[in-house]
Amino acid sequence: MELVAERQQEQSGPEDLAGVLSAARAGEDWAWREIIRRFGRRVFALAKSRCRSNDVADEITQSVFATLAAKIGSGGYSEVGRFESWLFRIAMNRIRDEVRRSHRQAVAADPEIFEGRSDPAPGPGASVELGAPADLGALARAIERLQEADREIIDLRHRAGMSFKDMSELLNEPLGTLLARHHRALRKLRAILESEGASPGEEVTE
Amino acid sequence: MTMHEARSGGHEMNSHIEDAGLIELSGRLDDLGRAERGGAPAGLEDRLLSCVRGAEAPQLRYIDAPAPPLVRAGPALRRWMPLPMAAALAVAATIGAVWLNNRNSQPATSRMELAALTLEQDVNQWLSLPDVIGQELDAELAALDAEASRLSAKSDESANGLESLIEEGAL
Repeated sequence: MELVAERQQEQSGPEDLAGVLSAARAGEDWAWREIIRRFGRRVFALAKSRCRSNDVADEITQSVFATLAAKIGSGGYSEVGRFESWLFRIAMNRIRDEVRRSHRQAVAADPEIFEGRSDPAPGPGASVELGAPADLGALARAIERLQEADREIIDLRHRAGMSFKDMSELLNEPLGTLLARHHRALRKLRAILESEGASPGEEVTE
Repeated sequence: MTMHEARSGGHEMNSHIEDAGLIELSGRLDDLGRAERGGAPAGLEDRLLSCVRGAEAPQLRYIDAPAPPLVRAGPALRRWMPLPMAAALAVAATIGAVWLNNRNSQPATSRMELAALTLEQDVNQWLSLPDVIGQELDAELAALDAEASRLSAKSDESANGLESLIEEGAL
């Protein structure tokens, strides 16, 4: 149940978010801290999934939030109720620009996160017992072998922590199509893991 | 609430997945994402806040600054608009005339030279005309003068004859 609290803390309702955004537009410091707390690490994780280094992901995240502040401060944000999809659209564009610029291939796993650490640095409030770090590393490497369309769904859903509804708005696709894509991507990922000989989970059998 | 529902945060179920293995895999992907979010470098939030403040600052300064005066094309400006337009038209017409002149420069020069030559000949003819007229006039005047002398002499003879007749008649 602590995970539920974590997600609810990360993703408060749109009414609450509207108030935070209104205060941020007025330049309230606490509001910006709240926006950063909710979305900063999620944008970072998405950027990190496409870039090799922490530094690049850090720079992309900073760039995204600088754009966010400029647009909100100037009244450029008008998509009321779609803030999250708007934010991640900015993030995706920045990430694509960076990948295109540096010709980096999408490599998600930074070994220092998963290997040689017994605790994979869980987020605030996360107390669930995670799988072995080596397993998470294998999972990250398997994601890299997915096709771009499948990987996009996996990254947005699990790394950026987006809801399917927000993903639907971001990618401009019907919800049903997204659910089908997610299901298909999971099956492909499981097939990759099985072909590599790593078990995707104790219950995963096909 | 199942384990998967707890992993997905409860706000949105993975109801589209029925395969237990895929549900477990989805949960492990959530764990991976959580680990990556937690693996963000220290001080990320502080750096983001600095970025936000830096991006906001120009906006706030702009709001505080007095509004710049607006420059609009008012009646005074519109009144002077025809003048530049007329000047532009004149310049364009001049450029066009020069261009047309240059375009046919060789034939025009030939025609102009021919015309000038013809005009010169005409002028020379006109200038030489008084001499011709003067010579003819002198000849005519000399002839008239001779005729006048002849008539005068004849008149004298006639008068003398008439006087003689009158005198003879009176006698």
